Amino acid sequence: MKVFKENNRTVQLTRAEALKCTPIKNTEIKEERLETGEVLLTYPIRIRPWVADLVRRFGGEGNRVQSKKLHLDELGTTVWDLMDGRRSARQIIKRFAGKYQLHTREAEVGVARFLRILGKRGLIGLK
Amino acid sequence: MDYGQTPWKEIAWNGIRFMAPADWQVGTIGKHYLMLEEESRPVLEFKFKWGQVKGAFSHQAHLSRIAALHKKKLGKAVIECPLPAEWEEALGKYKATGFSWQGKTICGKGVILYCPACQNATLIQFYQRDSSKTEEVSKRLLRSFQDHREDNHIVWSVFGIRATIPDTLHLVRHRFEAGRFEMAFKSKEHKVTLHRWGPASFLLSNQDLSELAETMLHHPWAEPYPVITASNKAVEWSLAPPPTIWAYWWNRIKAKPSFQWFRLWHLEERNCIFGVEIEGKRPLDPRFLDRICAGYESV
Repeated sequence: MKVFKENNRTVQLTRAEALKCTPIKNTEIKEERLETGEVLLTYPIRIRPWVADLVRRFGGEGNRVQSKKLHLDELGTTVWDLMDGRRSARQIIKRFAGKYQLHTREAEVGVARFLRILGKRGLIGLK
Repeated sequence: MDYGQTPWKEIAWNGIRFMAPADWQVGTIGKHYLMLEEESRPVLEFKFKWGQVKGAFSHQAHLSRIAALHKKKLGKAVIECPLPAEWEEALGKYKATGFSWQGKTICGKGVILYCPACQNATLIQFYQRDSSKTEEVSKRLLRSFQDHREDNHIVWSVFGIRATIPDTLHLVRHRFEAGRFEMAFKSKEHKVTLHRWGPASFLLSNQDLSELAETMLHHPWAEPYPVITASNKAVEWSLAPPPTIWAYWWNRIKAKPSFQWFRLWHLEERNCIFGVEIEGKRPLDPRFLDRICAGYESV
């Protein structure tokens, strides 16, 4: 009999596997193009029931689903635009590196970090 | 992949120098270590001791150390094997011992080199998935391998930057982050730091070179003045103590260097910004500054 329950371990992708994946945008995101050409993303977040309840008690609306905004800079907008649901992460990195004349490895580190942030916020998924 | 058709590039780091296929990227970098990757898989590993080998060099001792390490980490036995004739020809000036190991999906083949001229020891190890492909590339790579130069300079060429630095300057710190590269060197007289920022089109979209330097370096620099270089936009700063006897003695006592000089230039065609920062306790020689800047380029 197992005394302790095993932790739920997330599947760890190797670097090669992660680069083969295709980033897919969350369909619930509203995308707004600003005058500067940069993108403003509005995405829903689900707050915990007890927090919603607390907000309601203090006179707030207490909706469980609220929206949050994320303003992408020029580099973030470029990566966001390159994500068309068909290009793999590796292809996005190559295009990004080509556009800004960056070293491929340097672009990989930057783009991967950005994709990880988007993934954590639930703005993209990997296929 | 046909390596005969693909372009090759120079990789140089802390004294060693060789040509490698352009698709091979530096995956891991240390002061005395390089790991090259192709499509995120390791293909070539370098470990080197530069000018550190004192007395007689024992190939057998190093081979048994590698064997023990492989056995412990990978559970694979490393065996000494004769060098292929082409490798032997390419590495004629070195004392070389070959070795190999075999895994389930990958095998390795390498060589331990000792250069009697400069007393440098290098371990080169090729990771082979398909040995026929790596044979041709290893031959060409080893033929181009050098572990010292005759002109008292060291070439540094990684991640698209190339610098030629006097060998009196030793690497003390390096940082390769997305958008920011930094290599710091130190000698008895000087401290030299090479910077590279990118992409310039983004960084200079709402500030100029002087403002960028202030935000990146946080130095109490004097008023910057523009300088004219061959083809690039550049700005320069310098800081020196007043020429009084008190300033002279205070400069000798205090730990922080008093003479500072900085040049920042924009390489428009490469969309990046280069910076050279030099510090010293004695007045800086303008020829030395110019030589460092001239040898620092984008490739």
